[in-house]
Amino acid sequence: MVFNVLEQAGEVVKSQPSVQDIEQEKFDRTFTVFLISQWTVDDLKQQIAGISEIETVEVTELDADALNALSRPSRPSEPERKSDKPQAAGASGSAEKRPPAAGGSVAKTIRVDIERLDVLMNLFSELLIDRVRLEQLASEIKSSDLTETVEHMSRISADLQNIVLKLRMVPVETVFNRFPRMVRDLAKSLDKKVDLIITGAETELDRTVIDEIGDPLVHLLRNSVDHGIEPAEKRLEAGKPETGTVHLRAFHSGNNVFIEIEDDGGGIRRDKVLATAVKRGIVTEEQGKAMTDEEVYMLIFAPGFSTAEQVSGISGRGVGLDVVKSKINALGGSVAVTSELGKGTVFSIQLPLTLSIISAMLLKLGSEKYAIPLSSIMETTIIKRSQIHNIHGNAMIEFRGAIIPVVSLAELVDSPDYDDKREEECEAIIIRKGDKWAAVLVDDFLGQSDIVLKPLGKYLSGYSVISGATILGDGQVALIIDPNALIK
Amino acid sequence: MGEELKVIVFALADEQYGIEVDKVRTIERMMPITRVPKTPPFIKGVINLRGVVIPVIDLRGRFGLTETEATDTSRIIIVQVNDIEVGFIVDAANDVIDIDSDRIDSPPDVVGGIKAKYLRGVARLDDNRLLIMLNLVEVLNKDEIIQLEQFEV
Repeated sequence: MVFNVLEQAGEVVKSQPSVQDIEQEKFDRTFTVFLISQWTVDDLKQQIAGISEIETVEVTELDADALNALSRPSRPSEPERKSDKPQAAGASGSAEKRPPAAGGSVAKTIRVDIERLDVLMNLFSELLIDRVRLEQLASEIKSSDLTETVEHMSRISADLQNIVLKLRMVPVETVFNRFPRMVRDLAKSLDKKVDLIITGAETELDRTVIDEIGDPLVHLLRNSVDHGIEPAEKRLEAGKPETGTVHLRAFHSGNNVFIEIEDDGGGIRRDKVLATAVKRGIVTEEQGKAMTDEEVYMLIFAPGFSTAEQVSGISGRGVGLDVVKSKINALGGSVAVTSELGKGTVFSIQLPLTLSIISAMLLKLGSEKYAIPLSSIMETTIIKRSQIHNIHGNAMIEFRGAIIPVVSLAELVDSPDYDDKREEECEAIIIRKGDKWAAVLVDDFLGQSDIVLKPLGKYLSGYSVISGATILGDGQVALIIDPNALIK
Repeated sequence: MGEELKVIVFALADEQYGIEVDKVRTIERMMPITRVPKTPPFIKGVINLRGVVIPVIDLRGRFGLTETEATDTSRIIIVQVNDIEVGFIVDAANDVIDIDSDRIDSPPDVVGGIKAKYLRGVARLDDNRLLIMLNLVEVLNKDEIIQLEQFEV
């Protein structure tokens, strides 16, 4: 109900705890909301105080400085919503624990049954097939009315397609945003100093994955803070900064979404892990000797494992990590651990992109269409044959003062009907990976588009150059080029 | 009496083959196939099957037989083995029949130019037809290097 009022008053920018938590009553007796509004402080106060569940309301007008002072040190990289409205006001309300009416969040939302979305998606795919047929028939029958109507329908269904595909995608931020507080509380209770740095919160994942990935991430984060980061004195002794850092990263790569939790703590002790594993009967001593470091680290995910000398209320019950692994596996993903003694540990979760959308550049090579993730493309240009020089057997070109390699996409994919060597000049894309650049020759551009990543499947995994596929509006499959194959 | 197997019969070159029905997801007409670079030649590419991208192989190529153009009767049989889904291009897909597993003999070394390891056995049908039962796991096995020996009959 508070949110209903707030939404009439202006735009809710942030709330603490998050809107979902408030809706699920996960707050104590107070919550704070940041609001951009044209209303006066008194009006706001009056309106909110009028709600029966609210005991007291405090409305504070914030200017830029106060905002900076209030924002937490570990700033998650959510896109900041900038507004031209004159006043920014923070309103806190004390409330009895009553479920507020399901109104309110930064944008209006509605809960939808996932099964209904699935049905919607399937029906939509059928519709697409018929659309293509209609287009063919229209061109055969050559009635202008029919053609016009079909064209109109095509445009609309293209828009529909985009919307339907995006319906299930949710930025991972919705899961991440409760972590800063959780880490702070945890660190406090353990008397440690920990900073949580979040990047890539805007990375999108399918809704079902988002729902399931929260718990495993909580476990891993707790693990990092509890077992990874050392207490302040120990860190200082080791010459590390007093405050430990935990990085939480999410990003797309190739056919997957990666979520990494990296801490700069003490690292995993191989000998300790092996000792416990042997003690618990998970492996024998001889087996342990033959294992690589990575294999030993993975033992911590074994059921019944725990190296904590004391089973703290937080972790060390030997239940958490194996559940984490099985949940991630159930999502079709995998988890891996790398660690360096004294330096820190990285937990890397890899999740498949069953339904993820990326922005891509569509291009053609002769009769074939391909897509390249837009994120790796710096610019497009035209390159003349004459500009390409052969240096030590590699084709190179001067670009903005630097010499970069020229890659023939046609050669890379064994194009049956396009050969860039026969062209006087070619369209090209300039791609970048870290600090390496390359110019990739293509036949023609077909435009940018948001595409749904479809996995190629187990049977075709392991072949490089192609990282996945997408289905174009006309039902054709276009392959997605792996930028890593273009720059070694 | 052994168990009753329900088998889908399809034609390839001059022979008839069978795959158990529970391994077959669907049978489709030929549709546009998108080539996937850097794959063995018998992997023809991928298709869009109602929103899912599925790889398609030409069984003739897989078995080292000469490949031919698809015809009106050509079909793509989508099979699922473990969690791998693949489509097989075949000359024609015909009936579903019941076979008693007792009537499946182990294969002779070569049948129709295909090495025995791709075959589970040969079934004798009532009308004296011989049905070649495929070992799908071997057919979909990627570990081997694809160098099929051709036997001259």
